[in-house]
Amino acid sequence: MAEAWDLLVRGGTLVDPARSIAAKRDVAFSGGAVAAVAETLTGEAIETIDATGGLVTPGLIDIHTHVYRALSTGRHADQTSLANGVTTVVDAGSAGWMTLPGLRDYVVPAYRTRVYVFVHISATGLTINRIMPELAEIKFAQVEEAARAVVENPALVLGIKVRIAHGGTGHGDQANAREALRRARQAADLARVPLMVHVSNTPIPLPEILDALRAGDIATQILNGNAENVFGPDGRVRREVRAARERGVVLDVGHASIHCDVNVARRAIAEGLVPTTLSTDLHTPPPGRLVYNLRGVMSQFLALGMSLDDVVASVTSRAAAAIGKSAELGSLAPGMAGDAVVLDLEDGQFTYVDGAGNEVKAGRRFRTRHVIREGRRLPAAHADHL
Amino acid sequence: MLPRMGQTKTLARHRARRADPAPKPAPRFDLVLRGGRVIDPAQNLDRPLDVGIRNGKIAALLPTIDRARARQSIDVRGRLVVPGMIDTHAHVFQHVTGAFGMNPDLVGIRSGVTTVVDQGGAAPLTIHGFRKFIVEPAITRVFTFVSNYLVGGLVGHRYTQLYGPHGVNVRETVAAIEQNRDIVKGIKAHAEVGGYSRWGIETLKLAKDASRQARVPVYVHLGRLWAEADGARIDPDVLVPEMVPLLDAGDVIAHPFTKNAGAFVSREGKVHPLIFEAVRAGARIDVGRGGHMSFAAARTVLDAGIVPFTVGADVHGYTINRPGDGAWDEGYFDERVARRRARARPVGGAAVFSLVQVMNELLALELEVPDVIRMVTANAAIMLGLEGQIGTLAPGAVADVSVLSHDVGRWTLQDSLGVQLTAKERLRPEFALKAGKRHAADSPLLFESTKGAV
Repeated sequence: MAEAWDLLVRGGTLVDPARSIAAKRDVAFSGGAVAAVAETLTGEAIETIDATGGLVTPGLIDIHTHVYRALSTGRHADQTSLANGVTTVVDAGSAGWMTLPGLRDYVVPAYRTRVYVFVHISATGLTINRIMPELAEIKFAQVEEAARAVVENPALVLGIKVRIAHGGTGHGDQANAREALRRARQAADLARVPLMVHVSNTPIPLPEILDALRAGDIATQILNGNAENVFGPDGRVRREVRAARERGVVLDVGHASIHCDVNVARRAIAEGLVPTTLSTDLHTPPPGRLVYNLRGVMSQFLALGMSLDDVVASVTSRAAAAIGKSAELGSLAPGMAGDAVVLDLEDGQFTYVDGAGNEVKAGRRFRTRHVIREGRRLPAAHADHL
Repeated sequence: MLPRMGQTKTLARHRARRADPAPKPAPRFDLVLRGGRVIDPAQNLDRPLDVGIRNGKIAALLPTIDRARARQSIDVRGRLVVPGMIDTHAHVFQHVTGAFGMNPDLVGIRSGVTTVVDQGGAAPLTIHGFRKFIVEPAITRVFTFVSNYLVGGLVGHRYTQLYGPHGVNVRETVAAIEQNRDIVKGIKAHAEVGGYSRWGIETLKLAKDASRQARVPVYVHLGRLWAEADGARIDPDVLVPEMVPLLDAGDVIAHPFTKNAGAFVSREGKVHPLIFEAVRAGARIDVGRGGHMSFAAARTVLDAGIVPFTVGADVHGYTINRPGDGAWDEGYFDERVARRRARARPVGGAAVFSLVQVMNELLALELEVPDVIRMVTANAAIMLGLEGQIGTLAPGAVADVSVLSHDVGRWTLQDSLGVQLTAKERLRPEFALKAGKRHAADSPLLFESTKGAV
């Protein structure tokens, strides 16, 4: 008799786009990793989960969140993300190169969620954002210091973040925005990591930002409805956006309600521009504004016309590729990290609202049944239900 | 904040009653410090005494405590035994304020200091993190004067634009204080030339608004910190008359001995007359040493009869090793710059490493040992509103104790301008007790201070 598995997930529909699987499969976990996948697994397991009627997917990956609680901006990763099946999050620029040690030493060790970081080119990250744009003074952006923060923390920091936005580089200040972008580009090149650029509400033309991005870089909030968005003057998706996509720039949603316009998303998808990755930009919003968690964003894009397989790919295989972790995360092939989730697609009438008040009506939404992290089922925890 | 010891007395008696049949008197003290010169200005004490400690509290001060009554004794003959010293101006928001923020225990307990007061590192936006990541893990007791500015002392306040009225929110400051009264004891604010050239005295007015609402003092950095706004020309001596009318009794004015303009000593080389008025009205003065020591200014201020109430070492990353202002624009990956960085020098010339080093400067300026001890114990406790709880060795108080050696000889001290002064006596911390538990004064900062400056 074979050795017992730690966990056996039985009877669910495995959706693993990395391996083009969307079919009934049993999945077994041992030693923190995926141990076996087959139509039927009959071995012994310490714990067995009945996933009948549910979807089994790799642990979800949210490449744009903020989790630097108490010192910068952010939500509790375990409550807001992990409890909802998001086993990996990227903190996108809450920490600057100067405040990174606080995130690394104080905050991340307290989470069970897998956390990676894109460090902000601004010294203070988003801590100062309520008072002034974090790059209103360009001396906050230090190429060498940001690159050093990356190379000295290779297990944690995966890239450089910059916000080319009125609220990030100074209202209407094009010269400052260009210099911020230039410095962020330099830092990413020096450290040889991807650059993530927030492009919503940019003071410079979107094509100019995209022109600075190469394969593997990330343009986040790509479906925003601000003046400079994916549509050109002719109302069609800009040539530069398509070109960026073709050369391998990651087009990320970074939802946050205010950074994803329902009409833009609908038209873009109708024109065949499907985002590479769905993500939330989870942060602590001012009173009265919603920020949806990843399940909510996935449900909306399912309603907007993305296929189930595409939605799951955008938060598993494609998200893992976007952060350079395809060898460990984003698939349930044997040997991969034992992060998984059992989801239900619930029928009903659901309404989602964007920052402009536009609505998405959905007939189905994702619910989280079980979360599996490093091969163990997490006890049902308090989850933020948005 | 302080340990509660209510039940332990009864427990101890209970244990004593059911002692072994072959009676050996149960020790009455966990620890006795024997034969030291006990200086406790809060009790007007200065004489050789044994200090008996039980259950983390001071249990007795007696001429002699029988050795049999002590579980453990430490011979401290020839040493000063003083209440656990309180550094009223520290920067210990480590990992969040860049090179500026020190480790709390390095400047605290491992430097012989049992309590530190962070000045303006934590802010309304970050106070919860400060509590969880700094106050709770530290061995040293940590309090804070919360920053007047929402973001606090990031990068040692080098980004002027964060520190205008637009960066202050009185309502949030008051809320931060009210929700954290156990650790927040006041508000850190500034009255200085660079901010004044941009916004007038407005930020201090906002600080006072919050301070009155929350009923805590402000601690005012006085003297130039930031450069003036482009093209602005400010007479630095307007700062004192702008500041003084705003203050209440109990507020603290810092950096009396600074070399920088716009502080106690006017451009005429005299103490500004309104400073006397402020002191008469109950304002308190904290040395706030940092890069702010001119022996000449100190002489002028002390000779005018103005004596600091508290010391405040103001040790921060830049008092030890400050990269030049241009360093950020050049290369970490560039070896030439890396070499230049290795030669970086502390702000204001001589390095400042510890509270005791600053106390030695005050002794060299001819203040008396008991007066200096009072500043870092009884007076500091008053500034924090904790008199009777810390800063004294009165029986019943928590057993925070600093033990210092006191040597006579000749040492050379150096101020922030490079001016030298000869010291004829020297204090050095040997160890400290925090709530009765012994911690060695083994901070590497102390070694540097004895080698380099004292």
